[in-house]
Amino acid sequence: MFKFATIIAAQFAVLASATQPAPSIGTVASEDLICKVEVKQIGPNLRIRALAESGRSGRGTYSLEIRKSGASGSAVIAQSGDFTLRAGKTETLSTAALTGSERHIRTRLILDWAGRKIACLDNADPIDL
Amino acid sequence: MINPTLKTLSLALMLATGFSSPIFAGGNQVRIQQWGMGNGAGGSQAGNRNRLTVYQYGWSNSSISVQDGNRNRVVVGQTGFANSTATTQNGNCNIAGVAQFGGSHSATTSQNGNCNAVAVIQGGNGNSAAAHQYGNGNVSVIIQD
Repeated sequence: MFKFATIIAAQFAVLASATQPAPSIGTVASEDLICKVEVKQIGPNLRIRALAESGRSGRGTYSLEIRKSGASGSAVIAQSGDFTLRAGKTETLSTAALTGSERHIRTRLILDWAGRKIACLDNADPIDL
Repeated sequence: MINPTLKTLSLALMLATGFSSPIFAGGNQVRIQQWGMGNGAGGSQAGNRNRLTVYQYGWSNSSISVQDGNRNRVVVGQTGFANSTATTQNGNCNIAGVAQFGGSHSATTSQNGNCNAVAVIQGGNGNSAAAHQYGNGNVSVIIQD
């Protein structure tokens, strides 16, 4: 029981850290759009943030899928919705937390924005769909 | 192993025949406790600030809960083996918490709306969890150990 209390306390710390401002994920041209799934190991937990940035302001929709498979179990988190970008600012679209290590998870982020669709798969650079 | 189809049918029958706990107003609280094997519990909350708590001990137990409204809360605790739970939340700022201890449990949560939160804790082997969210400002936490 103490172990779980410790884990839960650690998860709250992970979520609290999710409120930090999104880090810049690059410099983009005025018409460009980039995305990134940031995975950060915090103790035994993973904090996962879906990030996006564009050179111009606009609205779009996103879809984030996280799959975990490990000895402790399997998990799927699927989050989607609308987002708004401000020119030159990296925005956090969604946040999730899981126990485990980065090698146990796969991530996929898809952005639909201004008639363009791009995907960020795991740590790879964005690709047009 | 209980046939999944039979389990689904029995749960649907239970929901249809009044064993479920529908709540249509605000501020109600329902607590269900079940021991043994093959039990089912279904709860539906419509309105604001309702609370539903389900405890199940044993194996092959199932629970389904649905929340429609704002600031509702559902808590599910399952101990044993091969238990399952499904929760659905529509609305804003609802909270769902699921804790499962033992093995081969499964938990599925769905959220539509804003400001919803779900936390799943699973202890043991062979557990699985799925959290689906649509909206803004929702939070999912899955702890498996």
